[in-house]
Amino acid sequence: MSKKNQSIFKEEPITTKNNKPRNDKPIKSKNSATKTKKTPTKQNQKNKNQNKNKSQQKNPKQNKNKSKGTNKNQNQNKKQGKKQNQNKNVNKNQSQQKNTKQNKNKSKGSNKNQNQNVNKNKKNTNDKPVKSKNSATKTKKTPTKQNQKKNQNKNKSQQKNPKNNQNKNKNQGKNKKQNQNQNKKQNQNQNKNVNKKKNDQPVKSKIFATKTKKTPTKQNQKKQDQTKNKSQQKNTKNNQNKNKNQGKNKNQNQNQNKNKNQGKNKNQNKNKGKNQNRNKNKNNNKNDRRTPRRKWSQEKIGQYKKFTRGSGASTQHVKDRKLRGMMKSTERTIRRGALLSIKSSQYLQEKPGYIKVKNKSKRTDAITQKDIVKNLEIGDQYKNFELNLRTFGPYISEYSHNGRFLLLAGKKGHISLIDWMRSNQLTEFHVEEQVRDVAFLQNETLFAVAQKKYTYIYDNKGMEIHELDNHTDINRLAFLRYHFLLASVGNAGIIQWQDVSTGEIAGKAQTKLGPCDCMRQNPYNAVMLCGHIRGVVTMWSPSVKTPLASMYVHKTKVNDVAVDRTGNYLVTASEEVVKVWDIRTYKLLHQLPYLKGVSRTLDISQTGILAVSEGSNVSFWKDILKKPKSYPYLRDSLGSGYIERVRFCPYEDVIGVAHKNGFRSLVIPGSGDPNIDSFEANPFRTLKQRSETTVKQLLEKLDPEMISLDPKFIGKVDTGASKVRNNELQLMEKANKEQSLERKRRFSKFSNNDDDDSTNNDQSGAVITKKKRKNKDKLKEKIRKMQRNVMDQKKEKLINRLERRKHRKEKRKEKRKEKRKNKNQGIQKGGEFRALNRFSKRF
Amino acid sequence: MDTEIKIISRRRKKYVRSTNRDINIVHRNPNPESHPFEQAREYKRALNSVKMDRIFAKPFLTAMTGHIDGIYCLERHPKYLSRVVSASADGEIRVWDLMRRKTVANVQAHNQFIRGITISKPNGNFFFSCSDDQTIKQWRFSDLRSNVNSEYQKKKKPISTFISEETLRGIDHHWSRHTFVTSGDTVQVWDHKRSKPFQKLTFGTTETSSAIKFSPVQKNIFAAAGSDRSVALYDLKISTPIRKVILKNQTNAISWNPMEAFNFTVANEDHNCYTFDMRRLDRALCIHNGHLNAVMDVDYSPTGREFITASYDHTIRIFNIRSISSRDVYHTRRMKRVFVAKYSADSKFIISASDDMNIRLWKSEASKPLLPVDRKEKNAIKYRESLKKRYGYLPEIRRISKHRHLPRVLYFMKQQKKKSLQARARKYRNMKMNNPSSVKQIKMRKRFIVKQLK
Repeated sequence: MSKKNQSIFKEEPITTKNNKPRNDKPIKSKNSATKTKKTPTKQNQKNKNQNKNKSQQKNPKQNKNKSKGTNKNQNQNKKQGKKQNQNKNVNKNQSQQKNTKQNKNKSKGSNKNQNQNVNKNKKNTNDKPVKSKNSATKTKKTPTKQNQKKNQNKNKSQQKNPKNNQNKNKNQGKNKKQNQNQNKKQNQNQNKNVNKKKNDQPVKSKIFATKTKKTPTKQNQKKQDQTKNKSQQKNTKNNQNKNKNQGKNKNQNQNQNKNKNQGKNKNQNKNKGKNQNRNKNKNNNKNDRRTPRRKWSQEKIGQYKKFTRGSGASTQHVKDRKLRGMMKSTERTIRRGALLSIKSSQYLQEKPGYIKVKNKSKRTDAITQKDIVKNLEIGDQYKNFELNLRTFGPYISEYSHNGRFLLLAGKKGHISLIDWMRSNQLTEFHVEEQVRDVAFLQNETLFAVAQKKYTYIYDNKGMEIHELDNHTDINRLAFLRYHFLLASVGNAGIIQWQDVSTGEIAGKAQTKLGPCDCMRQNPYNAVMLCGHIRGVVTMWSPSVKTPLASMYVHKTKVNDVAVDRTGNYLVTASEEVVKVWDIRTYKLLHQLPYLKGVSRTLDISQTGILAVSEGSNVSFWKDILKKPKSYPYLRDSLGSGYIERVRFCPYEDVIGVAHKNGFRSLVIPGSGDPNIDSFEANPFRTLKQRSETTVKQLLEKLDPEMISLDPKFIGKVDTGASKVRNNELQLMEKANKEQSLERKRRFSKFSNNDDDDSTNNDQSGAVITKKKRKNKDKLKEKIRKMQRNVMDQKKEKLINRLERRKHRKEKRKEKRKEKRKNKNQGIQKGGEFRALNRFSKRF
Repeated sequence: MDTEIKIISRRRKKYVRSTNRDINIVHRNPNPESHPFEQAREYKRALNSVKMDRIFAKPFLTAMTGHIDGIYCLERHPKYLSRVVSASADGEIRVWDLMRRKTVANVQAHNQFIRGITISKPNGNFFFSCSDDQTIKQWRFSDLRSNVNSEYQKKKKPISTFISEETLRGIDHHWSRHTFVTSGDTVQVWDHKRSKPFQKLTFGTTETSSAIKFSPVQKNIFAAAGSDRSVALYDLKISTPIRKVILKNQTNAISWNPMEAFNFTVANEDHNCYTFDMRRLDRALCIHNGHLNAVMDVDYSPTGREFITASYDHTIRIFNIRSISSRDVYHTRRMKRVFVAKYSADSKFIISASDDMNIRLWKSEASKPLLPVDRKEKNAIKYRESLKKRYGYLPEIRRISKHRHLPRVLYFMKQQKKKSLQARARKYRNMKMNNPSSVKQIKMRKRFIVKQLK
């Protein structure tokens, strides 16, 4: 311990002193590097290298800071080839010392330094925004000629090491925590590699190969030819292949490769370096226990975060040992569960659909349904079909929860229930009335139809089961599957929830925004969203009479709304615009670039593809929720007739487009969730399974009171409750205070009728002030009138006057007091009472 | 082709079983997005399982009749699960087979109140009974078992009779040796083959002790409760008393924790049970309350995690060894004051004997099924247990899982007791506030202790 401490105290002041100036200068050199990268002419390169050398020679300390002494040593190495070993030792010592320091400082101190570096890099690069933003792409493009040079001149390439390091830092900019680990590692690794370089060449070449891995261009190969080292070539190729395989995670691969290289070289530094790395990792991870300890791909980290369902509770501040132990163990089980589910999700059977265009100049939206169908296997081609139903249109459609069944309803009264996967019609009938909307209930055996006056429930054989006369003049229906609630909204502008299992009305609220023909549920939290004529979207829960939230979304009528299944994004459509909103912040993210026609209906698929109807056209937008796009993923056109409704089929790459003259089923690759959960939604379930799941669903029916904006509140500590309690307490205190003041007032009435100083009683309640105002104090009145935060001259004057008056009063009082005193004293002084005293003059 | 297009295409084979006799194919997707409302649904499941527990809570199995007087002694056989010996106030001893729910053998052992019976260990061939007539009789099971024939009954005689000079209040057998101890005016230590006690132990003054129990782990140590409200520990090896504590009320029964060798629990007249650490008798490890009248008996489960108490208030309670309040309460309309309650050796059943001349058999876990459970159901039960544990802190679930129905009389008694305790607490608080010097602050766990002697 003591040794380590010493090292800290030795090292720290140096770094702190030198940090700032050091950082300033090398950045320049970096900048020059970045500038030259985009136009890698030979001159520039030379200049760059010169700059590098100069900078290194001028202020070797800079390099110390960045690459921890490597360059310095290199320079020395040039001159004194024989003394390599000594230099190595020096390096070791330095790096070790620094490491110990970092360990001591744990993450904070050491990270700061590194973060500074990163940030500064960013700042500088920000001057040339294109480069800085796409630093990753830069590294892809640039490393052609530079690399050649590197291999030609070993020394130069060595000098460039720190620069590459910087690039990496930029690349990793987003993921700071990882960066810290990686930066450290890289620095260390560079130390070692540089040390090794003179001994054996292939190591170095490997490193560069790893850096250039993503663009194994011809130039790269040329460079290798120049070096004419066949063994090197093999190595590099191997590395490239590896990197290709491991795809996205360049930086991590680099590190891994480096480590491997170390191992091969059997350097003495190896073991030490690794140990140090481990230590650092541990220290960093202490701060955030939820980050995985091993090196994971970004994808895996994302999965881990998803499966742990948010950051866990920190147990550090829990004093109760038993409780802390319990909490820790639950955290552990959660983590273990996350790891297991990562593993199990690796073995999921189905893969999502996709479109890959080999010719990159071609856009995907040029692909028509014909092309898609051609590409499909014969067994899948049935998914694209069309129904011409001209007599009873316009049609609307709805898929069942598991995607197996399709309910079609013509506005003029035609209803049919289809098992579309087997092209088997289960029932078809005509209600001889206007039909406005349909909705499946808990399974395909029951569905609700909003007709001209009432809403009816039919079974899968077309039998009318119920007439819901509570729901009159309904425009939209929706079924909350987990709550067993049928929600409806209509021309009366009343939103109503009815429990389908018991028949009770769970909630009823007046929107007070006129007739409503747009309602969807938020699948994440079962909150109902209504779009209104005035361009407002309101969110409703059955237990609250007023909207939970309302957003002013469009200037004109809201035609349709849709929420994705994560519950984060809301898409709204008016006649001209389609906008994407973030529901968490209620803010507009962006809007679609153009619409070909009036958009009446929207839908978001399970994977987040947005379908928008534009008159008689549909466009499909992939990844639109997070960032704006200039053109759609796919599009399709009916030719004539407008589209009434688009609905994605769950768990299938299919969308149903219901329009004026019938129904069309289109294939949209990548729109459905490929992997079903048999206990959640199973398109292949048997009749027995169906009945069993219905029983289970009923058992797990959620209360309508549980619908709120945050569906995860149930296991959480209710911090709101304490707030409410505190508020009540405060109110109580306030009331008590008033009471006590009043009591005082009354008491003072009886006991003391004298006029007190007005200043004392000023704060005490309304009654007294009223009383006081009878003997008006004009000065005070004036000041009171002017009570503002601003002090102006008038007010100052008034205040001064008031103070002076006060002063005068006090003086007078004192005088009086003195008089009294003297009088008393006079009596006492006089001591003996004499009859004649009474005639003596009073003071 | 310059484009490559793939869509989801499910092959029926992967999803549908090939024949009706196959099990259904199940696919799981751990993605939380495809499981909306998972917390809420889990909560609902937890709530359902707690409710189901209450619905299926039917702990009472059977009542066995035969005795014609109140039963005050009960002992389970150390070897055979279904064998139990009971003794009643009229001097009759009965041997029961719990499987058949019948008396296997009975004998009119004494003419007076039988104060205690104990079975010889470890073999369990004999049992001893002691009575108010100052005799201890040793019986052999095989002698009694043969028949309930009246002729034969005359021949049912004890193997040996020990005559004591003092009154006898309780008896317990050593766990491995041929030794047993009796309590009375003094603690007497007997051997099977000696007609007179070879040792007499007292703690200073003479006292009449009632309950007496050997520790199952440290076999030479036993605890005895005295009528001077004391609990004393004795060591047979050094043949001296070790230490003694005097409580505010008398102790009716003692039971040792079979898994934690130094802990024992004491059933007290003041409606509470106290768990002590043998090494420190100046404070209790835990106070277990809930009974509304004197606790008459206490017995540890063989697992050492729970114990049962029998009380004068007509109920049996089950306690976790670390918890203050009871896990469950058992009562029936016909059960009167319960004097003895014992766990069965597999800890699945509870046997109670009461004033109403019946022996009753209960399940120790009220809602657990007794029949063998298949793997699926086992997993389901496990899952439910974990859910209950996880959501057990939520008010609704806690309320339902804690709720126990009590008979009307007991319910009002409970209210009354609560009131009186509150009043006492209030008084204490007031005293502390207004005249702090008059109040001595004593910890809860020490309040009921008068003093400790060594």
